[in-house]
Amino acid sequence: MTKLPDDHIDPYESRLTRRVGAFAEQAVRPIDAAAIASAARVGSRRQTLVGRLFGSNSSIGRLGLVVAAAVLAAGSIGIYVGGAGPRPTASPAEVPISTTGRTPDCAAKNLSAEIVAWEGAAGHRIATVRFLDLDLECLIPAYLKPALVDGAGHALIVGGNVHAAGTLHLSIGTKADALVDMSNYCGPAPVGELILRIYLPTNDSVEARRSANLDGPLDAPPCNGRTVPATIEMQSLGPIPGT
Amino acid sequence: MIDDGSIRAAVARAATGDEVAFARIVAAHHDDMARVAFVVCGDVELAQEAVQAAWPKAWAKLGSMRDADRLRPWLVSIAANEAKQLIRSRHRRWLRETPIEDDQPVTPRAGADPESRAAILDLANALAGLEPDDRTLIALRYAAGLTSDEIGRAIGMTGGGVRARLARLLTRLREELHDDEIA
Repeated sequence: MTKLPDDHIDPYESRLTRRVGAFAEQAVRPIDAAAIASAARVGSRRQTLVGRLFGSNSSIGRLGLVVAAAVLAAGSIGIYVGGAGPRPTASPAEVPISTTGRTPDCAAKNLSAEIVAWEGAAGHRIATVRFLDLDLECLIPAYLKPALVDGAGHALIVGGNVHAAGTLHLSIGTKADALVDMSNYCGPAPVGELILRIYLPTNDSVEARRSANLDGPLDAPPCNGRTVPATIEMQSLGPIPGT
Repeated sequence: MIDDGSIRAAVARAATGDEVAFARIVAAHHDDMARVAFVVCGDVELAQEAVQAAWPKAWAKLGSMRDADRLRPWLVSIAANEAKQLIRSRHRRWLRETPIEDDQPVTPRAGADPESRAAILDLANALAGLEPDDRTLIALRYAAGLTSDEIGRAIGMTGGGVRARLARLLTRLREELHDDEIA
């Protein structure tokens, strides 16, 4: 946990340090320091060369840098692929390596999904959706379009299209989860139990239903005013370590 | 964690191109850089990307590092800058405002920190309302634990200016997070 420096500004700092420290801890992942050092050495040379050719802040320069780092480090660290470009990470246990580009996209038939948490917040409902890769090593975008659907198949809230921003590489049997944040449903009363429909880039969708271990109602987010549109948004999909 | 003497030796060797020594620096500081980048950008994967992009810059400029004691502030500020650049280039946005009722039951996310998910979302929302430069100040101070002078050197401000700006941010965050009680 972060230690607050001695030059105190305000008594509140100690409390905020604890809060920020706990929040920031989410970002810590296992790393392969040797691979990162090697990638940095190569990336530095590449950066210098590309910087001379295209300017130090060019996207081409950044892409070249990341590609160089990824290629060198591919033997020992995981890599996110697709979307806005290679997205290096540092946890071989969480994200298996793929450098071929031939890994197929995950389709609905390859995945199962269930709702493992459904939490209340003021004006919002926050669900945790857990995906399981059933039978195919495949790629799934980190951000997906969700919809809240009732038991009769009525789409109550449909999310907007999402831009490509990184991809997870799922191995068979691995799990990943994401938060789905919903707000302000002012429509007709839902029929039957709610589900979440998650749209995939394969032009199909996977439906997440209540986990057998989840108690309590799956209620729609409360109406806060008809002048404000309902919203639904899926946060970044993240692998579950150890699966 | 390696001691100060070892890190000074590692910096000296790494500055001459010793990759093993540089790996020791990576091992010692990567997590801090990831924490700082995450507070700045609000996205774990983007934060990791920022740190990955920061290391080649650190490698390239390590030779100009005259004082090994300033290594950590220097590295975390590089990570913060990379995170800010990635936000700009991707036009990323943070979590939407999501007020949490005090009386609503919330459960911590499995495998996450002891802070409840509601508390984490509250903080994420409060940070989302700040400008990237202000999030950088918060990150360098409360995720990296830098003094106001160290932050000032890193971002080109005086220590006094950093303290004044942090004081305003503290007032704002205390109010938004309803942290009226001082622990």
